[in-house]
This record gives sequence, C-alpha cells and structure tokens, in this order.
Amino acid sequence: MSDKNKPTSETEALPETLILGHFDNSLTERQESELAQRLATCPETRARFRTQMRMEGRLHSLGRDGFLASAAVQQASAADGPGSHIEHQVTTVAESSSRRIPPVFTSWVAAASTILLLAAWSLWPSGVNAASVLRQAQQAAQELVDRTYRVTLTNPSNQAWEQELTLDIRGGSKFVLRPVDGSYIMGSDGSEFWMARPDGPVWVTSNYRALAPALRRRIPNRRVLGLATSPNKPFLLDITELLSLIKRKYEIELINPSGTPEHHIRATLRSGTVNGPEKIEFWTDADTGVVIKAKTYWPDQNIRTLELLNSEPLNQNWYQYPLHMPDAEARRL
Amino acid sequence: MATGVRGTQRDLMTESQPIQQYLQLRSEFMGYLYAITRDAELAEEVYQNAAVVIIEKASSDETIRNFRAWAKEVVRRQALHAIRSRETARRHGRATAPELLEAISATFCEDDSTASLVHKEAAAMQKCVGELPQEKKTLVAMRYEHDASFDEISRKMNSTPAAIQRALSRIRKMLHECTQRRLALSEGQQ
Repeated sequence: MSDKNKPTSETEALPETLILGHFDNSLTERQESELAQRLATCPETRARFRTQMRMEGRLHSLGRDGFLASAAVQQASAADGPGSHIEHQVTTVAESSSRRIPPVFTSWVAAASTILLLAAWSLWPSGVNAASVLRQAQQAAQELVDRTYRVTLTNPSNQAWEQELTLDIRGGSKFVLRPVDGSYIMGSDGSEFWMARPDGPVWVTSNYRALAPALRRRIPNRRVLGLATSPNKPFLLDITELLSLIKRKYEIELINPSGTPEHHIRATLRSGTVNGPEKIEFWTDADTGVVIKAKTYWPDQNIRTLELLNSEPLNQNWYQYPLHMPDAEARRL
Repeated sequence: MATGVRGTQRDLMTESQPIQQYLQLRSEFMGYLYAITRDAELAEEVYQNAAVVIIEKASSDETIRNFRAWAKEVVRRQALHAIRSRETARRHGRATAPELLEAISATFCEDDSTASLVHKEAAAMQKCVGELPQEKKTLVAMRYEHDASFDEISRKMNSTPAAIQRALSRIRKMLHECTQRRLALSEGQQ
C-alpha cells in the first residue's frame, strides 16, 4: 500500500476529513453541523461514512478478538534486546509465544487440562531471583487444591465502583465468585459457566460470550461481569492466568531480598505492549510459593486486589450450582 | 415496538438463533455505535444492552421477519437512549450535535449493503490490516484494542497527540483505499 494518499483537492478532502475527524472526536460544533448537512444531502458522503463506520466497527472487533495485539506484541518483543535487561535483580522473561491472552473462561478450561503437581522444595535453587519466584508461584498455583481469596475492586477516582467479593478457586479451572452483599453468585465447574441471583433461576452456558449479554441486566452491578467477559480486560482473578500473563508480557523485579518470609515481586508492563495492567504486584510465601496477595493496576486507575484467606478443602461439589442453588430452575443459554 | 417485529408465530427463530445472528453483525453494529458515541466502552455497553433486548424479544411470541433491520432499530434506540443518559449525566463538555446523531442513525438504518458485500469488505480489510507495516499495526492496536487516547499513545511512542492523530488518519485512509482496491479487483475477477 502506498502511504502517499494525499487528497487531490480541498473539495474532495473535506467530507473524508470531516468523517475521520468525527471518529476522532475532534470536530468543532460548526464542523459537526456541516457533516450532518452533508450526510443529509449527499449520497456519496453517506456511502463514505457507512464504509468508514463499518471499518471502525471491524477494527474495534479485530482489537477485541486479539487480531491486532499479536503484531504489536511481536514488535515489542523484537525491541526487547539484550540491552533491555536492567540490573541483576530485574529479569526480562523472554517468551517466544505472542499469543493473545485468551478469554478467562476458555483459559480456565484449558488450564484444567495442564495441571501439574507441585515441585519439591528440595529442588528449588538456593539463589532466589524474580524469575525463580515466578516459576515457584506458577507451580504452586497449579496445585489441585481449593483456595479462597478476598477480591477487592477499587478505583481512587470513583469510590462508587468499589466492590468486595469472595473467590473460591480450584486448580485454575473451577471457581465460585460471590460479592459480599450476596446479590448474586457465579461459577464454573470446569466445563460450564453458571450464574444465579437469590430466588432466581440459574443461568448455565458453555459459551460465556453468549451468556454475558443475557446476564447483564440480571446482575445488580454489571461491571463485575464486564470484567469477567471482556477479552480486552481479562478478569485476572485466576492466579494461574495472572502469572502466565506476567511471564509473557512483563519485566519483573524482586523487591525484597531472599531470607524473608514473603517474596514481593513487582511486574511492569513492557514498553509497547498494549494489553493488560500497567503494573502487577504479588507476594508469595517464600516456602510454598503460594501467592498470598496480588494487585493489578489498570490504565483506567482500577485496582484489583486478591488476598488469600485460606486453603481449606471445600465440598467436592462446591463448584457445581446445585450445591448453592438446590431448588433453582436451571436455564441453559 | 421495534420496527420489523410483528405477528404471533415464533417458528422463524429459535431462542439460540437471534443472539448468534446478532453476534455475526457485531462489527456493523459496533461501527455505528462507535460513530455516535465515540466511546468504545459506552458502545460496548449499548451493544450488550441491545443483546438483552434481542434475547427477550426473540423469546416472546413475536415473529422477526427481517432480523438485521429489526436489530438495527433495537441498537439505534438503545444507543440514543444511552447518549441522552450520558449527556444528562455530563456536567461539562459539549454534546454531539443532535442533527448529526440523527443523520448518522439515518445513514446506518438505510444501509442496504448485501451481506455478501459486507463479508467481502471485512475479509479485504483484514488482509489490508495484515499488510500494514509493523509500526502502523502497533498504532492501530493501541487505538483499537486498548482504546488508548491520542495522548496516551503519544506518550508511549514519544510523539505528540496531533502527530498520532494525523498518522492514524493516514492509516485509515490507506486501509479504506486498500479495501476498495481489493474489492474492485475481486469484482473484476468474477
């Protein structure tokens, strides 16, 4: 394609300039009126606007579905040469794979098929660094045990957005999520995704994307489901997926030295990478590698915090909806 | 009642079909929604809300004879409602000119492009995106995947917001011309 697409005259340039300016939200009031008048009176302008409208929709869809991210990530990875390593405690985790973060539901299902057992502590290298802490945390997160986390969603500029939830998770593929006010419950048994409100039916699907719109109006606070279903802002409540994301896209730094009971890691999004939290911090138990706390910092100032409450075994059927909603009607979507 | 919805039969669609059709039209609807909101998050919100309406209407005793036209009307109404709500809530800043919102909605609703053309156009555009030089792809990804503002992109790219806006305008013109060229070539070959 040529980059030399300069308009040949002002009269030809104007409609397209107005149209692109509209999508950039940069038109003045007078220009908006002018565009409106042209759309009302000029079939060519309408046709061009429709084409641009479809193009904008497709670009947003391509972005949402991850077709744009790979190119950007590849470029960012290519830019991360040996010179980008900083000090000995800052580790760039090279990863050849540039695949997009999968939607959380599918990733959890996929994670279930790749569960590994915990590595023996005796094999752990004596020299602790950021990469070794991350590896240990990943192995611990793949243990097939129940863990319960407190999840806090906050935004310094919007206190109304604050929420607290409880997350039970087993092995990365099964979860139950409940806000503290008990207004709804959602979960997955590893193969199906379900959600219910008190006294309501249980909505069940194996296709979370189809589930999302149907549920939005049934959930008092829709933003939580938005987080759960947006591929652009993956939920990241799954420690396994969070650690995997860190490995692929972040530079990690061990904050506190070895010998302390907890390891504190700070992960910073690599320059040029476009998707994900700008910063992630997590704390692991120095002995077990289990993530005790994790905080993700997003560009829109949202902060999501996970704190481990306990690792007690839960009922075998805990991740299936009949245990929580025994009398509710199940409706499949 | 939404335009295009009438009758009492419901055998033309099962409960699962409307949402699938709706998802297939996602790009078209998101294009319109972004055109009138210029806000990716709000556009997504409206798209999701319209999906709820579509699921509910589709499970009622009403026949949908022209799904695309009907869904367009649902989306249009949801969008205008959302914009009105946003303008009410907004304490400062300038609202989009009402006549422009009407003109865009009319342009969207009168679009009678065939599904075949829309599909070919989408395929052509995706190829054109694939042909973009790497640095242009990065800009496109920042803008359309991360919904980054010109300010945010310029900070990451060590540039100015105005330069980023100009660069993205050039890229969109390139994509438009490339898409049209590919479509013309495709028609010429048939």
